[in-house]
Amino acid sequence: MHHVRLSTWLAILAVLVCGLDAKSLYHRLYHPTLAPDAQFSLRGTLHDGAVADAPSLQTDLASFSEFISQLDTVEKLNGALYQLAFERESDLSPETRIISSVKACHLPTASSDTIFLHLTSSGEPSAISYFLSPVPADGGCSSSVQVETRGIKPILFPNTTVNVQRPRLPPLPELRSPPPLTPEGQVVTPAPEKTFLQKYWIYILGFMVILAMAPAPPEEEGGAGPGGSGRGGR
Amino acid sequence: MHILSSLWTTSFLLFFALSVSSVWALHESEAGVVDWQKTFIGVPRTDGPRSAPSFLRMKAKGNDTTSLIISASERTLGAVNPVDGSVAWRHIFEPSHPILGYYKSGNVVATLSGVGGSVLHVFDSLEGTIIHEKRLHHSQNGQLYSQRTLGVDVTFGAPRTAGHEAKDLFVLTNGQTVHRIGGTRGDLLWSWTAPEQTSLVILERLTVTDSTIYAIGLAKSFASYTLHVTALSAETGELLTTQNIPSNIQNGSDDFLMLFPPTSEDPRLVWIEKGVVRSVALTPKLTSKPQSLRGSGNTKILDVGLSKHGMFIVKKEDGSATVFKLNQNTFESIWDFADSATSSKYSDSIYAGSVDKEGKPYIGRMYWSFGLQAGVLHVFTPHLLEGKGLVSGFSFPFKTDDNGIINHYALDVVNPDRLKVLSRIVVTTTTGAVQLWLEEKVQWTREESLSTIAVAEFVELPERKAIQSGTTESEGFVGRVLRHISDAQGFPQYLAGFVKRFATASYASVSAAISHDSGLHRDEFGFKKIIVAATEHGKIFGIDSSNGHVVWSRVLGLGPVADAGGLIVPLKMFAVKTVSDGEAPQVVLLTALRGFDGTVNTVVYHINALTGKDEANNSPKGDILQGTVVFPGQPSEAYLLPSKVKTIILLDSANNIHLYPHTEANVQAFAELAPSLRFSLQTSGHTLHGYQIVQGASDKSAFSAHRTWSLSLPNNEVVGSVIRPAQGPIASLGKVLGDRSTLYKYLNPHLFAVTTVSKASADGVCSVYLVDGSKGSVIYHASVASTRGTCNIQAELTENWLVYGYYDEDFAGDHQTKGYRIVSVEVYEGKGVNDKTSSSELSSLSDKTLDIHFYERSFETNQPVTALAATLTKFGMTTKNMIIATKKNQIQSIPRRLLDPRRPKADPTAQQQEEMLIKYDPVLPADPRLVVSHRYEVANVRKIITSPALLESTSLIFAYGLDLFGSRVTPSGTFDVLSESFNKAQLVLTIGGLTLAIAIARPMVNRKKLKERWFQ
Repeated sequence: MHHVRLSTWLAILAVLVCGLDAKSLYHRLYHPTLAPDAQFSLRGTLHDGAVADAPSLQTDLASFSEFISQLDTVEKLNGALYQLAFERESDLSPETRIISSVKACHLPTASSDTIFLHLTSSGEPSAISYFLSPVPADGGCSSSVQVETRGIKPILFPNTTVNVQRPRLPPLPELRSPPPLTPEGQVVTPAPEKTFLQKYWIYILGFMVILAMAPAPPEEEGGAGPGGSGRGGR
Repeated sequence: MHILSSLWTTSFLLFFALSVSSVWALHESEAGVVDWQKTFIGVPRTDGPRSAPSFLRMKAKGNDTTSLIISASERTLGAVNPVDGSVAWRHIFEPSHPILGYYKSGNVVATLSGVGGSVLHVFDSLEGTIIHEKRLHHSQNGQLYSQRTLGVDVTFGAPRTAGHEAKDLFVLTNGQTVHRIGGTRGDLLWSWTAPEQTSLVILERLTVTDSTIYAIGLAKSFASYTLHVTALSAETGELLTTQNIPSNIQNGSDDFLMLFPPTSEDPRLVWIEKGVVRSVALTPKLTSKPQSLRGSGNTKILDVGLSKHGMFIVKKEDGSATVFKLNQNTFESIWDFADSATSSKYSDSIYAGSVDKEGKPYIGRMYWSFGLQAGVLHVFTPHLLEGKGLVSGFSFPFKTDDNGIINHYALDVVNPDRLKVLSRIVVTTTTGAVQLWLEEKVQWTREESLSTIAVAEFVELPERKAIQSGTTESEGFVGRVLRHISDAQGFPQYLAGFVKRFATASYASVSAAISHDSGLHRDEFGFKKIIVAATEHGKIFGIDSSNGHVVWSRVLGLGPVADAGGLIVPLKMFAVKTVSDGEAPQVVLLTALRGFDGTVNTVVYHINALTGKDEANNSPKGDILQGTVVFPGQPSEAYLLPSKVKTIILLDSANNIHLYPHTEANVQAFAELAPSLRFSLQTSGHTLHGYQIVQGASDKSAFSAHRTWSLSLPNNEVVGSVIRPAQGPIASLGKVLGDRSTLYKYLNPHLFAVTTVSKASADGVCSVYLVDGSKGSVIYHASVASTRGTCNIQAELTENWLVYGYYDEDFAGDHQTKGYRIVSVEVYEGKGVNDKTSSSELSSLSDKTLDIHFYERSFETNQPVTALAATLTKFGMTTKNMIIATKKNQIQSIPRRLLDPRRPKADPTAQQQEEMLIKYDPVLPADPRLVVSHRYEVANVRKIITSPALLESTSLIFAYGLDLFGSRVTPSGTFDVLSESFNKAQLVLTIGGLTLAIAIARPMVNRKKLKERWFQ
């Protein structure tokens, strides 16, 4: 928390503690040529990481389902988008509305959906990412399953997951600890390390003593050389 | 398994590459050979006499005099040697303190910079060293006037003690405060500020006599101004008197000037009102009565810098000019410039004054003759012919096609003989060129607009064709034999060259200078490219990347606003044809053409990158380069279509799509690709939108963009920059760790980085985002606190690696510090090792695009980063270094190993050592071996671009800002070429010796074997 000034973070914290109070989530089915003027309607309210469905949701979904069933070519299917939107409380103009889109053709076959809500550092929604699952690997609408089921299977959102993501702070460089100071403000000078002899003189002394005390090795018979010749007469 | 094995291979190669050379630094022998630097002083500001170039004569060593050309741009004060055009010295000012004007006096040049002239610098004009520097007020207390240079002036008074050379300075700041500054030490002797009640008066000019200093100002009255004079004691700063002079000034400070005739003790204030020139002598008590000059119908009085000779110019309604001189308190008309009235045969005249070595004045008149298509200069010499005056003149072949129009000139004249007048002029043109003409010959040209490059691109050169001749179908047998004979003429030389090369190892060297006799062809290693750079002054250049020389340049035409005039703002540049297309490389420059009449047009210039030729055939031969208007209005975004058909997609403000070149084939190719295209653009500063393209229902060639996602920044943050990763090959999809597990790189092709700037004055927050441009998902978002309202985040994104630099002022605790930070972030797929989501092929509709994890580390640096870029190589195998430009005017190449976010905090384990990870150190070393710009000063770098060479090991870099710098770097060493010390002669001799030995031994062995058979 050292990064941004404390007051800023207290404000952020306050927003986060209060939670994302009942943020309205809007949706629409949009097609740039067939339904260019579709209006956003309330899908639900986002509260405590879950979406509470709006009363009109089932009616909306039925109309979406019907719209999708009328799309008879792959091109038309590919063009239809299901869009989710938040309105920023500080600025309600449509220009600053945050939107995410998925292909509408994946709606009937979706078994779960996920909303990633990205917040600004002041806790306001900044971006949303909406995903349906499963979707084909190429993301297209050409799968025969989708064409067959598009009008029959009603759209449901059985399993909505909400992920809230907040901005992070850049990591801080982990500096080394400053040297310890004495109460007078002087740098504490560590005691100089003892030399090898200072450290181990007792062991060396003991070793020497043992060497000196040890009985002399038995003499070898007929030992040659200067060392041996001195004692050769015994 | 296949990927794993390729990862292993790559890792091994990288390991090999790294271990081949652990030396980062440039060899001394390569400095100045593999790199180059160009020094600039910035485009001179010609909007006032206090910043435009002028000659300054000063005392050099001994009794000699020397002259320099002093010039001030927005942030640079520079002195140019008039002999060869080299920069003698320069001083660069801080961005918050732009230069308001320079004031010269012999061996001293003073500048005022910052709001209201908050800081005074005094320079030694010969060496450029700062003699003293004084802050006169805090920038926050500076007065901002409609005209930035209003209310500031410096004048030099007499030295305080006789015999002392340094003159004291009288400085006017904020339009209301006068200071006297000691010339030797810069100490403040006194300060006087106008009282509150006269705050409607803005003081503009200072004039000093031995005892009195006069501050001339303008008092705002209804629909006009009245002259206001304040007299202060020069010694103490005491107010002597202050009063309005009865006058009616219409055009502000252009309508009055000061004269100091040598024959009179008192200076004289001259002004023009209602067509009549009036004047008043300034005395300490301001008791003189104004008097009028005979004659009316005057429109303008011009100060040509000869006020100390009592001379100025009066212009009549018809444009004709007359030189007046104040003599014994009376004005004399001493010369009428013939044919100076406004005419359709020539342009309006520009007048300038000059004083020679002996102190004799001269007045020059320059105009452009439409008939001669040349510039004409007349020089009036008042003292010749017994004081009757003489005008001499010449025309000079100024090339408007290359240099635009002359904006300003400064005159320097010598009078070596009785009737001989030699003049040289330094002209400043609309394209930002500064030229010195000695009579009718141009001596040198400085292309100062190169300090204002807005966009630049590297363009690869074609290979030299080995065989020039071609065959024709009608060629007969004899013809073919003759052609073969003529082609074979060069064979003996080739053979001799081959043998010589084989025997002596005289290969092209990577550390040698590139030969320039080969013309515009690629060199052996692809180090020579053309950098096409478009400047903010309406000129585009082709620069040789190996030495920085300008290969070609073109002036951009104003097209629809040619009459009204306008400004060409370069936005983007695209390489639409490259060498691999089999044609000469071409670039398209996208500009917004802002006319002074208020219109905005989107104009593209289609250029041959090798010659600067117009590829759209809009321009007549020998004329300036004309563009193509794509649509009226400002473009909101432009992209190059990612396909074989190199088409540029342009979006207007209504999100309609325009294609350039607009051909049937291009429209068809685009229509096929359109359903799969997604793109993003920024609107209104703090929103980013994503779009998909929809074909018109009725008109199939009309396309429009429809919004699919929106991202909204906080209200007090606006987009600062959008960084898209460089399009280069990616050699490996992951990183193999020491324990044989793999981290898969997050290689989302739609990824881009956004940095924001804070609009809040204090306690603001700025951010760095990584955004998926196809879906609008935020992949990474970090907030940093602004420092006094600014953040200045610099960022670079390459593959999965994001690096950003900023200044952090907040810190808490013993283990933290304020300072310049560089943060390195790497994004990987999945939750950890061996978790693979194939992000490079994944549909953006899949929620796995957000299934990521990242590593990040922060490092302290000792210098702020002004620009950064990652190196780019041909196959992307070589380690990527980060090239950074610092405030210390250096370019550094930071090895990736130092910026690796996975550097362990403890001592590296055996496995980490295997990965070549080094222990984390919070401070990036200030190692001079990392400085690729070595002794060069590369000032105010705004951007660095990189480009691959033919050698995988080498990346070309080009940094531009005030200065230009080009070099090549080898992040992993030159692992793909033999080292310079390789002894080829020894190898050849050894092989030769062995061959000889075999040749001798073989018959002996054979004979021996034969003999053995006989005796078996």
